[in-house]
Amino acid sequence: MPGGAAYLDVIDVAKWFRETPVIEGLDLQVRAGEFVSLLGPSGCGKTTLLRIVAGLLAADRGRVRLDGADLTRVPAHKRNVGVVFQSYALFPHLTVADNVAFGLKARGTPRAEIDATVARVLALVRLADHGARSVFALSGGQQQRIAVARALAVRPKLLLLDEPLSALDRKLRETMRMELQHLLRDLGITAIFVTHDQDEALVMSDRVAVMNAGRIEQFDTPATVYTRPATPFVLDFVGMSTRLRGTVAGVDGNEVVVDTAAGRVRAPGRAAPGAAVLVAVRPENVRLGAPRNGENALELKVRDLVFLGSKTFLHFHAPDGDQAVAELPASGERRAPGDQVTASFDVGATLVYPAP
Amino acid sequence: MSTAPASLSARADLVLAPPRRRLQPVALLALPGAGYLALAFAAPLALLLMASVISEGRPTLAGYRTFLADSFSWTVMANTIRSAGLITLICLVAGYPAAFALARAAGLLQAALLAALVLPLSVGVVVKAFAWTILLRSDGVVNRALVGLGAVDAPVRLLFTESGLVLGAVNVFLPFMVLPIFSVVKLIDPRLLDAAATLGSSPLHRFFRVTLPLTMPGVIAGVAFVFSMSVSMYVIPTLLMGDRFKTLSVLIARSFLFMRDRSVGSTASVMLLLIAVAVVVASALLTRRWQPSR
Repeated sequence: MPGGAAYLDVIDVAKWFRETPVIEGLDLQVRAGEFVSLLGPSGCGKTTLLRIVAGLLAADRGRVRLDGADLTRVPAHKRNVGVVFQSYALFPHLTVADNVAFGLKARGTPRAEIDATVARVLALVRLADHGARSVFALSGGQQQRIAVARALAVRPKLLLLDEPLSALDRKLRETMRMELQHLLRDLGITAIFVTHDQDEALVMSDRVAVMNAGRIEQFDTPATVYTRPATPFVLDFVGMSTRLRGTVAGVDGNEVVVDTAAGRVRAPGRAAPGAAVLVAVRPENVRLGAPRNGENALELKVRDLVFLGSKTFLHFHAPDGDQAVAELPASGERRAPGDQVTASFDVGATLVYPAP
Repeated sequence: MSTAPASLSARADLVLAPPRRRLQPVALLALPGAGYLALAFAAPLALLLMASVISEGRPTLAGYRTFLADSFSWTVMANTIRSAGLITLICLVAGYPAAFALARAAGLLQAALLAALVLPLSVGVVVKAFAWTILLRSDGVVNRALVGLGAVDAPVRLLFTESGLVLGAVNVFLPFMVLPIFSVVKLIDPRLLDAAATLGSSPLHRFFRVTLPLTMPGVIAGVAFVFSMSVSMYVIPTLLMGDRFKTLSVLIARSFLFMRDRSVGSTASVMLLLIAVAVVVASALLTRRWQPSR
């Protein structure tokens, strides 16, 4: 593996539920101290993978290694892999402090050390004076922080977070996202964060593993996942894009020439003439106006404007199954539905995939 | 009579909370039940209490003095509490895992198991007790099985023994242990046990630190049900034990029905009531202690 040895090594893991494969031969390598997101739609197997790594679920095939030790047959309570659950799973019969102390008590840690650790960890999540309270007396955001504190108190070798922010409302989620990211980075803890929210994945992680139907489609930095999606699924799942189906008309050096319903498009890549392909471009790479020095250009008709505060998306009429969208600069000429415009974009920014 | 609770609560509101609504409409919902209990339970109970402290028209504690001075009374109370305790313990040990099996069973199987648990309740306790006299005979099924398995050499005496009584009573009262525990187990989030495991808690530690505390309210309710029912059972000991073994309820029946001794009967009734009330109050206090404070 480039850039250092794997700290967590998931090797060829597979899991079926009855006859249905949920994970099929999946590999994942995470470096020490790295913050990795598992991003995918619900049902893609990301939570199943997390439970296998935590030891809460036995894989049908494959191995899990952590920090040089094979954990495949090690039960959850001997793995020292912390988990923050989506529902937090705080113990309702214990106070906040006893929740945080639970793992330390289970390990038989001396009383004085438990008290010191609980105080330190509660301070870390800024709930130092809440120790004596019932967990029911806490708000959602505070419960989430206690769940994190409880998992951190035992100094896990790896922290797994299963959609820990999804139960919070949007504004709080954005605050907690930053707070959690800073906390985990400061502690230098290796963490895997499961989410279906692409913003969370892109903002928080060192690397993002995009999962679909039990496989990892792409595992790379957030920037690469966004700008160079490896598959049409990643392109579609992460961010907006113009997507046009077409046929390869010919090959010109390192570029393919594709005929789409909206017009002829060139893209860097290789494909056999006559092959069915999908060409794509991100909206911020699309400019309204005549093409300059060899840019791709499409004649499109405006369908809607979608105002998002900081930016506006222009959606164009496109044949069924295709989609055409451009980001409108804040200071630009205004457009209205029905306008006929020329959309230009650099050949280098054009992506091409075999038709899905 | 039936208007008493309403006028009472109205008066209480006048005294207590002037700014709030006079009569909580919700209180009216309790009226039919409260009225029935007042007539059918509280009034006879008051008469009984009075009978125990009035002798020849004068208030006296002589009944209690005589009753408590008699070592036979203490034997009867010990018998009552011991057999009830044993029945409760066996119901708990057998019912606790059964409640988990029931809670973890899926769909149709769970419905079938629940029906199997609840339907026998519709068979009268007299029928069940008679059935047990047949099963427990020296040539009955239980003895044949014991001999057949080689557990005993010759048939053992079960009928008219405390073991037989406990065996029969456990059969009758087991559902009252399983159902309250089941209803609590069903509500436990399985993620709590997952969370405990990932925190380094071994299966045994998980049971004692998570499962048991969370199921405690159900255990307390089940114990209170079964104990208060076993302490006051009459039909089962009468049929399975006859006269050899006295419990408080057998003594009460004998005093009222055969000896025509209202003093002993009412005194023993009050003792029985005290034991039952103690169990209910203790369980209520314990439940509050175990209930997660919200």
